[in-house]
Amino acid sequence: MQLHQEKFRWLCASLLAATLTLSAQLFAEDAATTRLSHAAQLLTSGNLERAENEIQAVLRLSPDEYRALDLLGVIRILQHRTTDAEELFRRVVEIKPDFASGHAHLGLLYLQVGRPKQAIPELREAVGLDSARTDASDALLHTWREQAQASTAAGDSATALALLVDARKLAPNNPDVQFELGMAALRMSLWQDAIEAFQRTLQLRKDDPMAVWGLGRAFMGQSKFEEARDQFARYVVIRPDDSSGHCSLGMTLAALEHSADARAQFDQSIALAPAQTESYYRLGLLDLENKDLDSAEKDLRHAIERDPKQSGALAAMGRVEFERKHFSEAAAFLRQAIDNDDSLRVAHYYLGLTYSRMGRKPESDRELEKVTQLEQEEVEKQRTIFKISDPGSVSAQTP
Amino acid sequence: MGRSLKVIVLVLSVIAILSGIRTAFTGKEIFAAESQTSAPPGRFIDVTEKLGIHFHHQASPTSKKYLLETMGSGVALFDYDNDGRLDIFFANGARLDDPTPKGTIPKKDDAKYWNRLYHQKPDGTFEDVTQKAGLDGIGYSTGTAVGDYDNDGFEDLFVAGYGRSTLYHNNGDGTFTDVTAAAGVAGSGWMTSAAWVDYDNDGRLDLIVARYMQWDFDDVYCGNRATGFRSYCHPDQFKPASVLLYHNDGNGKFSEVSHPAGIDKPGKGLGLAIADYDRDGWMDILLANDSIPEYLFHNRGNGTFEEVGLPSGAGLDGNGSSFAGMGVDFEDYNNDGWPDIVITDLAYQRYALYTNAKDGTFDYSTSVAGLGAISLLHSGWGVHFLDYDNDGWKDLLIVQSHVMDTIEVTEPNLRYREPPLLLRNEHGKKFADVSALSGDVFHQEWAARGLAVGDINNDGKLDAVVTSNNGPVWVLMNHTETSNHWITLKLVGVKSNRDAIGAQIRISTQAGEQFATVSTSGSYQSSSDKRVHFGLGAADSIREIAIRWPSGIHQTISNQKADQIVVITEPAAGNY
Repeated sequence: MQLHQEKFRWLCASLLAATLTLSAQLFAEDAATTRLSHAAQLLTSGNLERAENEIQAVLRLSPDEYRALDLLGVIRILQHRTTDAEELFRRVVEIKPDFASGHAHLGLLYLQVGRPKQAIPELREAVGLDSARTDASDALLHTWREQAQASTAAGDSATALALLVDARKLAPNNPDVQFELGMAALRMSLWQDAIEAFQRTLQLRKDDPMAVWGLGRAFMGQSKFEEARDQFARYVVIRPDDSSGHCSLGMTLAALEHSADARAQFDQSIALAPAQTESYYRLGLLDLENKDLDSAEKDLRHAIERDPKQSGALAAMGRVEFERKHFSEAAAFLRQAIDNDDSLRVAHYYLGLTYSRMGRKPESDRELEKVTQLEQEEVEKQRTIFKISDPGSVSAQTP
Repeated sequence: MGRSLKVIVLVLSVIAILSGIRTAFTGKEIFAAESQTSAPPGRFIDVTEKLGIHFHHQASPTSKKYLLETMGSGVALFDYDNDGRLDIFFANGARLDDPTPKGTIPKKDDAKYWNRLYHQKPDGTFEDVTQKAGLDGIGYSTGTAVGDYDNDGFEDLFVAGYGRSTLYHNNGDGTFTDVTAAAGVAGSGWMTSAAWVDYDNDGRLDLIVARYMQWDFDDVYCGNRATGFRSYCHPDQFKPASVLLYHNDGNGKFSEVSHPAGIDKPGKGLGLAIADYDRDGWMDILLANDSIPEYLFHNRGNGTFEEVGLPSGAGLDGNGSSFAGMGVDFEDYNNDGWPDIVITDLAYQRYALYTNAKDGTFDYSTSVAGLGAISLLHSGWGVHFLDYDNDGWKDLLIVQSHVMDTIEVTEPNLRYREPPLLLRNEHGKKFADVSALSGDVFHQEWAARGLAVGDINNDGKLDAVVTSNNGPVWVLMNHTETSNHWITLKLVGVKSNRDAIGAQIRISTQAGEQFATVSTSGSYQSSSDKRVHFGLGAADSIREIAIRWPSGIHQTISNQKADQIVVITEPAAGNY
């Protein structure tokens, strides 16, 4: 109820602001419509009755005077007679389809009564006809962002992205829109789109920590580890007490084969948030790569104790046991990892190798086939992403 | 690597200043190189001009970015006239029109497209004898493979190509005859690397030819239209093609047996190398595939193969991901008697090193051997194990370049042209990058592709020849200063194939044992000296040389002096 009242106040404020603009225009352009200008002034001063009298006088002489009908619609909204208002605004845009105010008022009304799908085309039309109509553009932007948030919450990232692309066209210099678009692109692995959005965000809002983080994450998605490393390094300067920043920086440093520096970042992350699993898991991976199996086990067991379903850590423990040639133990860990995440390619790979070493060829073949299948699916997915990013081309040769 | 790190540091400094966070980096140096090696460097000197070699590869680049244009051609190092000095053969491209109609088999319609044979004269310089030898070639040539397929004592030459390959019989008088049609080895499709190997141990060299993909001159646009630059297409865009295995029937004819031999699994082959990885007496074959799993064809010993790349652990990287396999070598780098594998690929993929686990499987050792950090930002093609400093450990020489000449636009941290890489083997445990201190050539940026290795001046130090795509070639003479000793073995098969390809050699010195397999294949589209070179460190003699010939004959030779080239002929009988 409170929300409803707030929306109504917002709508009224928008309408009155628009009416002021209208009255100014009327004064300027046509002396014959003095009555309407007067009505607009009365309306903005809150004298609805006198305003309506002036408008009705005009309509008696000229029943299709769209400006009068539009002003009357505003009065009806202020009188909470939304059905009558809708009818009036619809008549306005029917009589004068290129009258931005009519579309704007109709759109705003639709928003007021909770019909955003109908509101959006009217508001778009209003903005298209008159790009200076900030009431319509603000409302449109607000609606798109709200809908994008709802779509994201419902798991529909594609719709969210489409809405935010529209929002960005409308407000290219709005850092919130750019950031939200970046996040939506990130969720869809549209790395290049995310990078461009976050870069624009940072042009508009320098050192926005979340945009810096998002930019780093998008660079990681593109395997541009140096660029990612730069962004996460910037992030930990901005937010030195955020453990996830140190962990992310550690991941990029590990990818760049700076093992010692990566280790320092993971340690820092653990010092800031000892209850986490991710940095322990990453430390375990570093040890595993260097075949320091005992250290790897120690770190990975930390991660698994805290989160028994951490599929990455389970798979890494499977690799530790595989390296030790403890194939039964390896298979057990790797199966657990797959039970928690069937798309974990590395787990299928080492389970295939493990079964092969155990002489279980059919099972090995099945797992290794799954590895190939998962990789092909990833290639296909990547190809689709390329097409979305650049529909005119096919994928380029990249590492 | 050093230059790349400097760039990183510079970029970071700029970012730090611009964003006002300079203090964050002060004194922390978290992006500095992790380790600097103090390993003794090599010394390789570019002597190309001095030796009279003026070859320039013609890739024929077009606006259509046909993939063929960027894959380069190989080189062969072999002694075609048996004068004891290595000669050099360069494969070359051909004319490509812009656009080239689909179905075209390109032609060498100008002398600039000719393949070239350079004969080494007694004074160590070279002369172009292409015309006299009859090796100017046809079509767009890619790979080279040297082997005496008819056991007449003169090395023959197979030149792989796009659409058609050519087999040249060495007539023994300085000329070659194109015997492709009679031999039946013209092949089809896009052929890349090739290898001579006696896979059935019948005493005759068979031929295996890698094929890249099912590809034609289609006008496929790859890259980003929005940014306006076109790039070479990813192999994922094309269907795979199988290798061709030709059985040598012994009468100058070959039979294509890929299917009955079970080796016709479609791949995207660029590199080929051979070794008996499970020491069962039958030569196995490693096919480096681009962007799909690598194939390891295990020789069952009955004329058939089983592809065991994935289950053996040599099919993918340590994370279970495929990579852009290009060059390959298959030698024992840790002196344990079991052949290991190195495969080059693209930047961010890390060159793959697989250590033989001695049970028919391999361990992915890239990180633990230090190759991950070294190769992260590099893209490699030709690769060869070679003991450049004769310390008894096989080092690595890798020639580099990205595949995309536009890579710097999309990946500012990478370079299309790259210097070569010399990695010193630290007692079979790790590799250390000694490039920066090993001569000017390691600071020059090349679009390198092919690499062949051999002792060109017979001074006991392994030299190298490098080709580039649409560019010059380089002869790198090894002048590494060392007092280490060496021995080079030239094996002559009798019951076995005359080149003794596939013979396995073990030498024992005071420092321990070393192992090698006779082969001309490996690297990328190239063919290396068949003679087997061992660095001996401080040892001035070899206690024992043990050879297992492809025929199964075992031969042992004791107490050989170091620092010489020794010819060993297969005995009529030995210990089987």
